[in-house]
Amino acid sequence: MSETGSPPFRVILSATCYADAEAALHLAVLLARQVGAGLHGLLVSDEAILEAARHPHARAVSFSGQAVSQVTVETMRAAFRADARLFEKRLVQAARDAVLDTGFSAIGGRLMAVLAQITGARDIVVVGFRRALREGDALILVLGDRNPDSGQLSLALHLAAAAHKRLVVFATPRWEEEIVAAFRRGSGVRHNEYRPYLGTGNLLRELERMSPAALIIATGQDEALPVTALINAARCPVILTGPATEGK
Amino acid sequence: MANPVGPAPLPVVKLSAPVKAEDFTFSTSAELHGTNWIGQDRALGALRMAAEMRHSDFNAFVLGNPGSGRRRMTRAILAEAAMNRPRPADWVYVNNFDAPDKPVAIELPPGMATKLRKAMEELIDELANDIPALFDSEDYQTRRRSIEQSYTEEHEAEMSRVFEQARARDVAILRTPMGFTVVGTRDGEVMTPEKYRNLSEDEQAAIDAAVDETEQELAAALKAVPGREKQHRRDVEDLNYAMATGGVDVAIRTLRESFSGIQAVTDYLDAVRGDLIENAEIFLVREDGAEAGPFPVATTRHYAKPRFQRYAVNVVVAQEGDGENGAPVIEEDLPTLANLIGRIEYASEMGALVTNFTMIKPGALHRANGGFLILDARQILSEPFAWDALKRCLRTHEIAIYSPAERLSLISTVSLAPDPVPLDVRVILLGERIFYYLLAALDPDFAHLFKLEADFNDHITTGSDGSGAYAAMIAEIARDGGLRPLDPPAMARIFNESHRMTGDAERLSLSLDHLSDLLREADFWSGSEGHDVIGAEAVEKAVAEREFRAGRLRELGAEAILRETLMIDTDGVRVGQINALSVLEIGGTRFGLPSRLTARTRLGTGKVVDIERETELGGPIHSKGMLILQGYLAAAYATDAPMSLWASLVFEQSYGGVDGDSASAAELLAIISSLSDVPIDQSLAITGSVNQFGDIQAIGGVNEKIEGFFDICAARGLTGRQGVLIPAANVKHLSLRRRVIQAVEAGQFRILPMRTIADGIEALTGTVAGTRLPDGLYPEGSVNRRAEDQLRAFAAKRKAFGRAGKEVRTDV
Repeated sequence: MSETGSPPFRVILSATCYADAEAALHLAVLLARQVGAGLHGLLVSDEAILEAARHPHARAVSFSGQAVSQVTVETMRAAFRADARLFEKRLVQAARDAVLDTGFSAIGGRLMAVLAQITGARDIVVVGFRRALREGDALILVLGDRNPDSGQLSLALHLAAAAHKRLVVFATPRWEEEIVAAFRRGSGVRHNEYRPYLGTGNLLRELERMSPAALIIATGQDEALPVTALINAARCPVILTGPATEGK
Repeated sequence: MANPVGPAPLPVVKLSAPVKAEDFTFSTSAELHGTNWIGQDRALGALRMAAEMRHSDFNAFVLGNPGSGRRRMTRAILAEAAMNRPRPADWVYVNNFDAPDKPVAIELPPGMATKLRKAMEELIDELANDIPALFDSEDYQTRRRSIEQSYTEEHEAEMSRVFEQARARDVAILRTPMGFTVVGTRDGEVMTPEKYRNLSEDEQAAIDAAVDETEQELAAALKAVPGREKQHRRDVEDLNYAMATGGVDVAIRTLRESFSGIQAVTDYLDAVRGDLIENAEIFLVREDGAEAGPFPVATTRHYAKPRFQRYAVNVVVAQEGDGENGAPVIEEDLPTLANLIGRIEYASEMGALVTNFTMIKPGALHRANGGFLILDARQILSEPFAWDALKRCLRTHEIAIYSPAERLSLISTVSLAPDPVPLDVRVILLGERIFYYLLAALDPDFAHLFKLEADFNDHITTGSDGSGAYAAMIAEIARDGGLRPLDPPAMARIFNESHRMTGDAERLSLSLDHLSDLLREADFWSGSEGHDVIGAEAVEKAVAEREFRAGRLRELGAEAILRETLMIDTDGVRVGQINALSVLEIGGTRFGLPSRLTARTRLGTGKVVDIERETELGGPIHSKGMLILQGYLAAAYATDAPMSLWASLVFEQSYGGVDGDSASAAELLAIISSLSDVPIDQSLAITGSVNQFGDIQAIGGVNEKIEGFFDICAARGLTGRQGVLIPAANVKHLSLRRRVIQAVEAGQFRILPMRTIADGIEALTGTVAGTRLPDGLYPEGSVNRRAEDQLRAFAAKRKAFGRAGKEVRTDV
């Protein structure tokens, strides 16, 4: 908490492993610079992972598909510690290069629970994710029925331009006109696209096929979105622009 | 006052060439028209042959003295021949896309090199605009997205299926620092080992099977990623290739049509096409920062950017003009190796020397290819490696560019080996004769490569060419120089000076530079007097002023004699002393001065001591002359007795080197005077060389020698006895100054021709030399008799001395 009682404005880059964090670091730096926030790193030693490591019949596969043997709780804890060190080092370096305030913490618990616990109202959360394939060409903003003027769209447009990506916006059809008008006013990235938001189930199916570069979710809206399901569907870094709460 | 014996003085008419103003019928030389090329038929013929003959190796060496007009005539003949030759080909160097260090030389029809260069620049500019537009087009973006989607969709679908099936099997796939962990779940939570152990064996087996299956499916999906990536890259490359091919083919089509008849260009354009398609991404580089100029992209000179340099055309030889120029005639005044065969320049980049085909610079041989190249022999021989390079090019018939630093391994950096350019050139070397003779003697390649010699005459004989043609040549020189015309007396004076230049009354000089200089100086003096034509007075003034300007040393020499610092008698008689004559040549000035030569004799063993040689002041030719006169002495006198003479000879008050044999007659006469004890008339001076039979032979500088002695006598007062003995063979060389001729005409000075040494004896002593009589003796009282008697007396004394010596030894 700051002296004035207003918590510092942060972009929190969170992950359960260094690989996921590193994959979203560039995006987090761009975002922090864009919104004028500090950059905070968070590595969560996920309890579920440690539980799985204790399990005698769990199986481990490397990111390249090779079988990994002899995974124990101790080796997993050591791997978390090593990833935390590496994550912090890389984060500090990237923040220094971008002239950003920085902080880092490594906490045990469940990822979404930890995020819900530490994020403030103005914080933006980036959940890291390392894609198996190389980075996609589009940023996806899930606006739902939210008013495009709320600032989410503007943020997404600027971020897409900075990352040289096109933007795909999922929003209810009544906002189509405003969104397309905003596309026309923007510059830099062409081929932005509006797609109708037709409910969570439809969104998950579409995300599973799209392979985006990042997903921007406006949380805290009337219909809370299932963040974990969206992450599993999109399999890319996810930006949460509201409270890190899990919807159903 | 003539001697009763000896040769008669020359009449005035023999003292200079008989050129008179009345010989010319024109009013002024403006009426005359002719050529500067008279008397040069031999050289001109050789030059014309060199210019017109098509066989190689018939290069020419133009021999002649500077100022003979050889360069001007060479230019004129070659220019005329060049007009009748076709314009040679253009040459360009282009990039070798397969081996950039070996640039390709392309031959093009005349005038096409610049067109090719401009066409390539336009092509690059066009592609720099078209290719980004192609890759930015909706068509490309759609096709690219389609590839991206098809690439990711398959993977994503597979991964989705893996995750979907895992969820259906109650299996979780967790992302961990060590990769993925696959584990069974219950109620959405990871199953703990405790919960697992509480399950029945069947349940455990089902979970284990589900975990194993999921693990295998996940591993398979992840292992397929690299293969998909590879295929994706290939698909994108194929799309890019197809887009670039379309753009390049459209842009290059016009260019190919323009040069369709030239196979080398067609081949090059094929290579360019392939490289453009392979490297289309260089057209997609963003213009940021300083590179982005204030002008719209479409008007930017894209071809000048470094990344497009590989497509530049380096024009090495370009035949400009409308096609009526003919072949080139190139003169290279500074024929360094680089200026001759071209050079490869380097640029410094990050401390390293780099180069490429655009840094190939042509040499004179490139520019002259198909035509003529005029070089100065002295210049090319004095430039390191240049002569060697020229010969190599002529021998191999191609121009290969290399640097001397590379050849000597002085630099070690990336360099080029450009294609050699085929060479068809006629080289004309200009030089003095000495260079031709040295090259012919010392360079075995020279005779093979330079088969023609164009030998420019230094003079013409008056008999071989009418004075009219020569006068016309003088008139042309005046006209070419923008000078006033000459009147007939001035022309006659120019003729006289021309004879003076050659040192021969029967020859006229072809040194156009010297004649032109004289005419310009005469024109100057004529103009200062306000005359419209050059008159004899102006020529006379020009000559006098020249002599005055160059006369300081001559005046110093004469002054030393007149003040009797240098002892020269011009009257009286003296035994063993004679006035010899010598010529000093310093810079462009020649003048004669007398010097005293003395001889002393006594009993000896036949040795003549040349003091000059003993003191190492005498040159080899002088020594040769001394030995010849000894031969004469030995054979002319007392041949039946041992030579019992000791004589010494010296140039008095001479402290510098002496060479030449023009004083050998004087030396012999001084010895004879000393031997015979007959005095020599000091009012006479003598010049001439002698052979072993006593014949007098021609010498050089006769006019200057006579004038040198005359000026001393004139300064002291002419007596009428004074004069100069010259070889009769030199009479035809006489072209004396007017002051000498006037003195002779007035009977105040004499020029006496000698044919034999006897002429000299009689002229100098006033005594008969004497011819050997039937009794074997010279006439009584003759100089030869007195000399022979003296030698016999020396021999007798020597014999007596020898006998006395033996007796003394016997007594002992």
